[in-house]
Amino acid sequence: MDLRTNPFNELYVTETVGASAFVQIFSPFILKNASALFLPGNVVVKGTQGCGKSMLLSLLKPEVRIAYAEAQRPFPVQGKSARFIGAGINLTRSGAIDFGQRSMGGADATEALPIYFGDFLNYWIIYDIFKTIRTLSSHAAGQVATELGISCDADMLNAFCAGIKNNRCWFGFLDDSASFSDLEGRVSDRINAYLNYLNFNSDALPESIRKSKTTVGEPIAQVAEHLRTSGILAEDVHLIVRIDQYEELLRLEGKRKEYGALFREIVNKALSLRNPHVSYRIGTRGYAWGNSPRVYGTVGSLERDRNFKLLDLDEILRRRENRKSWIFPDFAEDVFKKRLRYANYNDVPTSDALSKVFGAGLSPEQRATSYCKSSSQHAIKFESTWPREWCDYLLRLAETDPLSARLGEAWARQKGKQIIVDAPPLGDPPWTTRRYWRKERVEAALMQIAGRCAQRMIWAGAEDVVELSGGNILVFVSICQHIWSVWLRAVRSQNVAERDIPEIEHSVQAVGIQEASTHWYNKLSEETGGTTRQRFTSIVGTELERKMYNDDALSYPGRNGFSLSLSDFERDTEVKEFLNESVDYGALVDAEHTTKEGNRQPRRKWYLNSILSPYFKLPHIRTKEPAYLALREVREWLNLAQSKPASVRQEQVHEIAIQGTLFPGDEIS
Amino acid sequence: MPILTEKPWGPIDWVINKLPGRRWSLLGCFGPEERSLGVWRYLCLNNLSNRTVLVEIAAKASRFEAEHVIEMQKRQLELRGIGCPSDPLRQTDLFASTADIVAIADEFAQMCGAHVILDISSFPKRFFFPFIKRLLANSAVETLLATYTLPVSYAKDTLAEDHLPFGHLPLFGPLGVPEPRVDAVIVGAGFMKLGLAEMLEPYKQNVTIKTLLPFPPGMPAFHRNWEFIRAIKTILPDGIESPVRVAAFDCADTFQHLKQMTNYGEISAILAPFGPKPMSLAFCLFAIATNSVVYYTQPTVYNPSYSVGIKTWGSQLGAYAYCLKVKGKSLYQLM
Repeated sequence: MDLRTNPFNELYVTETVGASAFVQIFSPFILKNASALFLPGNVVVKGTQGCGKSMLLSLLKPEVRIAYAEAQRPFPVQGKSARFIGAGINLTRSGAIDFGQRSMGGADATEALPIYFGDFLNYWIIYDIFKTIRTLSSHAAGQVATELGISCDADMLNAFCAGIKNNRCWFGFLDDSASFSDLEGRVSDRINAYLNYLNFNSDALPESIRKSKTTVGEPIAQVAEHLRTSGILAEDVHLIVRIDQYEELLRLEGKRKEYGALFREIVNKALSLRNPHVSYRIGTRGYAWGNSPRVYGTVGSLERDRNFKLLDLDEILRRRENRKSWIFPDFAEDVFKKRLRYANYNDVPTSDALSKVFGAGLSPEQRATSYCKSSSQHAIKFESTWPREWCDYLLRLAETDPLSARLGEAWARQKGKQIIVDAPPLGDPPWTTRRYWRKERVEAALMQIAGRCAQRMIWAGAEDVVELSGGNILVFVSICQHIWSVWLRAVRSQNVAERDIPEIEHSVQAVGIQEASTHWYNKLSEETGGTTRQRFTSIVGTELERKMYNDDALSYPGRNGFSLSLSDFERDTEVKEFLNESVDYGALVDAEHTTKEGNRQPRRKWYLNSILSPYFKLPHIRTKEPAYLALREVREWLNLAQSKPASVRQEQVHEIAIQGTLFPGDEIS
Repeated sequence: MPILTEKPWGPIDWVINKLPGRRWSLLGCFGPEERSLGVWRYLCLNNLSNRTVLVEIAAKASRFEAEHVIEMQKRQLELRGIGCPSDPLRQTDLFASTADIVAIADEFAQMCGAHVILDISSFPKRFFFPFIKRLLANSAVETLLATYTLPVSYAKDTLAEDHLPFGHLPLFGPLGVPEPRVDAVIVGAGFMKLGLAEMLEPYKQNVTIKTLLPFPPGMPAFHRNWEFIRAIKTILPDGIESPVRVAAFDCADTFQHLKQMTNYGEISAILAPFGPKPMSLAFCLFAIATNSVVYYTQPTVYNPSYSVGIKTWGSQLGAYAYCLKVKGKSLYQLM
């Protein structure tokens, strides 16, 4: 193979990489934290794009299971957890999302619309269940079907048909099915009738459909049960139903916005049934799944752990303060090794492959020296009032350790520490011995040195690559892709016929990381609704960078992020939704945090996604307190991003509604 | 060139003169672009107009709002200067339901008479695609022309932004199960690649992805078109086929290429029309002929200065007309 091929060219690992490639490069590392996904019970998988949701959910698809069998490789899920079959619906591609584009006709057209939507879901999913059974039985020499105890000879299928066709859940629609083939035909006819009607290819929905609308989830449960009782599925094999593109129901525009909420309630209703034979899987971005998802036709909501389990991949992969508990680096290492092996590199180490290729990176001191080159004096700025001796001290220090000199300059600018300018230290200066003071300021100091020396900041080394990925495997693979691409350009004239894994120079990595960061910045506008988000990110990034760069005293080294009190955050729904979406689409990351203020009000903080740090020349490491902002300031950023005219530039703050009285004359005092 | 003679198109004046004795009913868009009134002015000046419905599509509140209001006021003045259409302005919004869009086409078809011009110059695809489908299928419409007015230039800034997730255009959705096998995705290269990566993701490994590049598109469009192609190349695995060059305004030629790419519809394809409108028109006609699904990532905001000015050829309006249906026969068929 040509080693000049980039092993990271393919970013996504879903079934779309091709089933055989999937088998080779899928990393099962995350599975141990996602065991709920393969066990009975409903599961909502939350996470930003690229966190690995689709990769995990792909394992539920019959095509991927067959690919493992055909490749003679063990399916990554084993034992009881592997006793399932998967089916599902993609709300966009199936056309389900079109409900509401045309009146369904009849007296109950509007009220019944969500019910029609649920009915369509039922039939589509049932059609897909049949397809799954056929696919598993007819591929890989029936190996998967045998493993799962699937038998589907004609007699069994017809017995299944006879057992289920008169069930009350169909309201008579399947009564005339004489065989399984008839029944399957009725199911597909119904789906086709819906789609023809929604595409205006027919004038009316057939009366037989109008009179037999099913309740969401019930026919699916009946099918699951009868597949068992008729012997088609083994008793212990579970049916898992995927609902893809659930979050797109949030993005319906125009009059259909309100329908989106109803359609979500319909899906939620299926989850509320808690049927022992069927489990639902919903993959969604974080905030697209509300706190208390309502259930259609009831006043109730789905309850976490009762109706569904929540698998929050961002939360699982997010770095905590203690790096030791962070599982993402091991996940990234595993993915990295698999990619190299798939690309036929020799002797991929069993551990520390990332360190072998990318090295340990540069120490802060090395970075500072690299920024200054031969002009170390540029690292420091002097106050006109400072004595000559102090300035000379810093200049001498800068020649050997510009970072220390910059920290010394900051020390002398801080309140209560200025006295040092009159007596430069003879031994170890206090900014080197005060460990936490130094640690909290190193990154901000380096950013300023780079700026003062008109140099790009350098990110390189295994740790930087992992940290900039921010717990997102897609970002990690993308960084590797860009670094590899720069490396391939750098060695284009060299003979790279050998298959040994390379050790890539830091300077090459730095260029690759910059390119990756720019790519992710540009990509922001390509996401759904992303143009405004990209402008907002640009405003925030530029503003934070400017303030941080001008903080000569390094008094606020944590201000590469900002924070709002939760009460402020909740007041402006537009700001709230915008920030939440920005997190969902990977522009920002957020976390709750403890306030330093006396009022002890809970707060939430936001940082740019780590991968955007190189683009905005902001340190990616988050220390100390973020900038505490008032809602007005964030609203101003949003207004700027939206470039709204003055008339709509005020805060859209919810007024507290004053309820009217029940009877005229009863005034509220 | 049998293809061209079968599917006549050319400067509007030339085409109209080849179809004499007709008075034309116009379905057009009344929008902030100057070119939205080009064909209406032409019909008035030449006394060729029968019934006219102009559709005003309300814009979503955006950073362009003030500019949008100013441009719409200018168009109102121009409209008064030209003369008001026979029928009142039809108001709707960008995200009108499919039913509302179909109603506009069907109500127009009921009163328009036999000879119809659909001016696609300023209509978003989510309007003109279903309009064409409905008007082509309507037996009362004997002659159907699509017209496209060329602007002097396009906005240097963004043309459109904040797109929705990919979805099919109204009336061009999936038609049933079993879902037809997808052998190819055919992309018309345009200026904006909003959401293209997401749209192509499920197909890029398992199906052939083909691109049609408007060439020569003229300056400065070729930069944006090649940038579009470059973006596709970065999304897709190695070995993607080179783009097929088609003349940007030659709807008939694009249609012919679509036929060849799909072996006269034998190869089942999903269409993604991101290119210039005459190319997209061919995508629309091909999708109608083959019942193909057409996916698009609909922007929620359009720049009111999407295009500037109206091109003229001497004293003639710089607009093309494409014969889609003549004497009740659709000219854009597979065979």
